[in-house]
Amino acid sequence: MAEDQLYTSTTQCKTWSFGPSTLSTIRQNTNTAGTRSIKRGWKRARLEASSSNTPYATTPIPSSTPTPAPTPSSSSIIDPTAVPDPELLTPAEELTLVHYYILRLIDLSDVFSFPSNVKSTACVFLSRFHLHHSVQSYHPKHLIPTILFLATKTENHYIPLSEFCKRVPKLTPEAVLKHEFTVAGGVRWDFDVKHPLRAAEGGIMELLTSLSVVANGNGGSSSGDPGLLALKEKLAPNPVRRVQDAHGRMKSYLTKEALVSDVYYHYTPPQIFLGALWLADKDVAETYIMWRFGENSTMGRIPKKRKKDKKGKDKDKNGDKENEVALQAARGPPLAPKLLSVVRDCAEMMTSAQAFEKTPVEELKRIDKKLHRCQNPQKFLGAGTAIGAGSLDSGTRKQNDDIAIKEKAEEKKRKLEEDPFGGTLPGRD
Amino acid sequence: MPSLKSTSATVMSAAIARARENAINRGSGDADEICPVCKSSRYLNPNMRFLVNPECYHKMCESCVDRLFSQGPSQCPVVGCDKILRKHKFRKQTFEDIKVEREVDVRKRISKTFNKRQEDFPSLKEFNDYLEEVETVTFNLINSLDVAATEAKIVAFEQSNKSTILQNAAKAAQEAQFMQAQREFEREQHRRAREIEAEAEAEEKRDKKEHQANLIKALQADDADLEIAKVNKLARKKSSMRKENQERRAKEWEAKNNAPAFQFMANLNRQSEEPSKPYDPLDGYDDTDKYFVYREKYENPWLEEAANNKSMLAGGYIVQQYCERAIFEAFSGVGCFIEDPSPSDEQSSPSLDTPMADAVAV
Repeated sequence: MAEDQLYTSTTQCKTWSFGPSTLSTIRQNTNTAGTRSIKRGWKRARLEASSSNTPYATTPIPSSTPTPAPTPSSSSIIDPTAVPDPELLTPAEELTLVHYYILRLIDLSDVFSFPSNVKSTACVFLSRFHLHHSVQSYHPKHLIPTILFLATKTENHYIPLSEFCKRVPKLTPEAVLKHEFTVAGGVRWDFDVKHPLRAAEGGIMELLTSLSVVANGNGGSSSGDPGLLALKEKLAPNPVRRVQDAHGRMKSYLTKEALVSDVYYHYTPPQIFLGALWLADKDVAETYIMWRFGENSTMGRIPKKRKKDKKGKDKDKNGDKENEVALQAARGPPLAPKLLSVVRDCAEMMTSAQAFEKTPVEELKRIDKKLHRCQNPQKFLGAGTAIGAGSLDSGTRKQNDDIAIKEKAEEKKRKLEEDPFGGTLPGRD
Repeated sequence: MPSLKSTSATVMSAAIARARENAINRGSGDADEICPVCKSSRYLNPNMRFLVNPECYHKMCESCVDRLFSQGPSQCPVVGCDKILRKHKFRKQTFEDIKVEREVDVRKRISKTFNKRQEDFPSLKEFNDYLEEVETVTFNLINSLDVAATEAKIVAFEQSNKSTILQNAAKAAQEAQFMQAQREFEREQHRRAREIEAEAEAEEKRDKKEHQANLIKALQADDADLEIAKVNKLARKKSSMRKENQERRAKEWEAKNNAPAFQFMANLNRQSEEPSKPYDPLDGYDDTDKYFVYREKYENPWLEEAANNKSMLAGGYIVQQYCERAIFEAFSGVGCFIEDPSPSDEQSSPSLDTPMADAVAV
């Protein structure tokens, strides 16, 4: 009981595990919130633009900026009321973008050659962050370095920030730290992620050790564990070799497909590990499950008992049998049937995640363009002239973007101040 | 002459008593206090008493009350107050602060209606919730917040709990009666004890006197020594008898004291509680592993290296611990199945703290 009880007490189980329909509802809600904020931003920008025909007069630009004076008087001003509202992102489009950036995050982590637990944690953080925060409010491309840096810290694999920034072109320490608080709050301060990586190591260790015990034939367990014998038979001629091969392939599934797909939300670490094992070598996974969780599974207990019996053979067999019956009752029905189907589903989900890598670039570009239009209303309302006339140099434009970001950050900050722990989780009530 | 003296003394003492009463009535003893209705001041009328009516708590002097309300109920004379007051409801103010006076009245009234006891609730938490609600109602009434809604609430509660309110009131009355009886009983016992003691003392004195008289008589006799010895012997016998008597009485008294006054009282304090179970700090948590048994050694070529690497071991790395953790994680949560909470489940347990609570099947 202890194992499952302990897992159910983790935040991963309590706040970050959902059924499929709950998950899609949460995503839908997040998307709705994101579109609402975009609409608000556009409305405000439109008001600002129409209240004065000089859109930039209202935005506070420091006097030192070399804004050319004649810009406002330019006659080719776009009528802000004539510009249509931007097309908003759908939940599916948001998800596509998140998947794309998780893959980029994996690439970024590989640049640093971080261990797989750092990589996994970073990916889970990104996925979790965008579960409750729309891509339309926070563009993942700005968050990726911050998230990876945060993951190095939470996984105890810290590298200095200056070092970190040196490895990525055009990355400044300020840009990394700017979003750190937002990201930490966005993952609800749940920094500990239960990965299937160590679970996988443990499972393979158990499997290999059991196989070697059978091969050596000690402990008289060769007759005691039919599940293990079946496993050995199925994996013949060289079971150990086969398990080791599966181990290598499984690892690659755990560090890519498992991170891109939603398996972390729907399955527990051992289940994900078994799903990856299933993809690596179906026979190994199937026989492993039957051996450990099947009808007459011993869970590694019987060999020990046999040894005891040998020591005191005068013990009456009746008591032993009763003992066994009680043990069986305590264990309850075997897990295998349910677990098999769950693991199969998990494996399927991971396979389907392979498609995310093949998302056409045009599609991504289209979504990103839409997102750009959504996030920068000033550009399309008033500043259109400025962009078209080229009267604004890129520095000023960048400043305006910065102002918009700052405004957004301030709004976010205000919201955060109102509620020190963030709002309620959308899926919670 | 003596009779005259005594009458004058009684007159004097009565005057002092009246003065004292006046001083009490005056409360703060403010000599310039003025009746807000008739504007007569205490300076002119030292015996003036102020009364209030719990309807509106406007203060006025006794003569005003007599004057205004003798012909039956009428409106409060204070400007802007349209409460109809009755004479028999007027009373002396107990507390100087009129707010306190009013709060005490409100609390009295509320406690009459909300007289549930802790036994009426299955657990302490529910009782506390009830108390909290009662306090909210009281607070609302005292501070005149939301009065209409609160009154409606009280009436609704009264309607739905008529029988229990009556029962509890009867119970409280019975208890008060019982307490009274108990107190009386104790007082009576103390009195009896004192009486017995006084009796014993008197007896001792009498015996002593008798002994002395006997001694004098013996001295008058012919062979004085013999007679004296006889008398002394008699006195010793008597005193020892008395002592015995006293001891016996004391014992009886003690026995009586220890015995409960009434039989049902002995049963009252005895609690028919089940013996509480021994405290379990882990609350039933069991750390036996369900799915596996740790082995002494695990096969892992990569770990072999770590186990033989002195620089790692010196740092405190324990291979065994890594193995235990890895094996544990390989099975931790394997029996949890994450599903969407079904609508029926949600209805049956609305107080979930997490959406997962019912969705995990362990």
